Amino acid sequence: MNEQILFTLDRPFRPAEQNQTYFFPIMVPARCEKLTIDFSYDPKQLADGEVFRNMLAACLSKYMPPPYSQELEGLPVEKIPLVNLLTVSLDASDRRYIGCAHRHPPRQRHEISAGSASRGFRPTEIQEGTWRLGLQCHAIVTDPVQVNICVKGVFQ
Amino acid sequence: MKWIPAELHTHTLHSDGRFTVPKLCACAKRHGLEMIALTDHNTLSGLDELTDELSRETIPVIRGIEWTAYYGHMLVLDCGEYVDWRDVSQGDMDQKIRQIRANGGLVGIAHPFAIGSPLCTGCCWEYEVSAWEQVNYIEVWSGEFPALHRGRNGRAEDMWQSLLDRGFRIAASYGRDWHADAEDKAPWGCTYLAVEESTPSCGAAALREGRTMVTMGPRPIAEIYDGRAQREIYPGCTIPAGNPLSMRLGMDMEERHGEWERFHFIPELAQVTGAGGRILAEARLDPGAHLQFTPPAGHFRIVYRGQVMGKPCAIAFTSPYYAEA
Ligand SMILES: [Zn+2]
Ligand SMILES: [Zn+2]
Repeated sequence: MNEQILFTLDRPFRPAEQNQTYFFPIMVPARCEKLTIDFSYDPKQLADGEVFRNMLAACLSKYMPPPYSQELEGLPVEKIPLVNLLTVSLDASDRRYIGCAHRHPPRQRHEISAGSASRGFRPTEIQEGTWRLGLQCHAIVTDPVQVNICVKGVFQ
Repeated sequence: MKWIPAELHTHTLHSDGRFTVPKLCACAKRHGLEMIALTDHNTLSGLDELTDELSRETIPVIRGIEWTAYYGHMLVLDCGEYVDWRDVSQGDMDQKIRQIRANGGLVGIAHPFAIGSPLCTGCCWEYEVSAWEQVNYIEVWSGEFPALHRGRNGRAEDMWQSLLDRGFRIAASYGRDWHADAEDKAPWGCTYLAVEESTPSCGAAALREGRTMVTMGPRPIAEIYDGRAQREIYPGCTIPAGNPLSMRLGMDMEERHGEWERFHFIPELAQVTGAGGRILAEARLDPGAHLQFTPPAGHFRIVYRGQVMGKPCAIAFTSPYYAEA
């Protein structure tokens, strides 16, 4: 059994790049049995400070303007963390949607093969061809957030 | 036809929920629910765990996904082909909605007035939609003690009401947006579906045809008979305007009472409301009520009011009935 790196990404993303999906082609050679995706980003949380307080205040006044803002009274809203949320999705070479891991931990490892797959992805035979990785930037609250992705193929 | 309690918005470990699929099903059954929709964020992988045995022994599950997009969340149920959300822009949601409907899917707008990004990414509905005739339902109530939250749910009610007033036929649902089983400090809610049988396809049909009621606690009773047409009327039905209707309205204070009785529900009043939310008729619920009501052309629905935990509020409401001239 051997491994081959099929794709890597190590780059900063900035707040202006949020609310978009970035797609990357993954060239998968023949006889690949399994794909592994190591995905991480850093930092997770926006630290307390003026940027945090302004962003939180802007969000609350946009989405809960008066008179609804009074419903937030008594809630510890200033303690709500503002976090980056990025996720990865995957399409097979025949364009089938394999899935997505929509969850918060900023370090994730996923495996996809014909027999099994990490939760969020469907078990799929790893056919030769151009697969597609999606990076969904749901929220980028730190400037920047450093994103790291490494996709490997596992061969018999 | 029978009314069954359902939870139509759930998450598991396949996205950011804390349940496994079997645990979610078992938990729903324990809470007296008789159907759920599995709607994990942006994935269908949890659906592979659904088996006939789970459906038969535990609970029937409607297949779904929650489009967790950048400017809104949308519940897509019972869709034949996967329709991709990742390339939708704020202006072309209509096209996506049509694509889902063309594949037999149901479209429901989730928690349209939740706090949005970055606190809850994309949670507030900010997509432009003009094809409202393609939208099957709106999650008019969501979260804990829904009737109290005017910012989240009152505004969703207003949005729904104005779409109904424009002539669109849209059902209502409740969504707990269930991620984990936590201790209840206030009532949640559920959606009642009128089904022929307790199967996922009958559940989806109820939503598609608008046969739903939303409650925070007791099951609303709306036995409505059109004497002229000699038939029973359900939410979502179209009837001739001007046909006198005989209504037996009430609340079932037994069903699932373990779920809500500790929150002290006191039903007081049933109101038939029409365009603009105007009250067309009302009756006290002590313990039940009979009402003769002749609908004018347009839509009407029934709102059940009373007290919950000592607070006066709406307890439940039906989806609209449609009277045509
Ligand atoms: Zn949502
Ligand atoms: Zn949800």
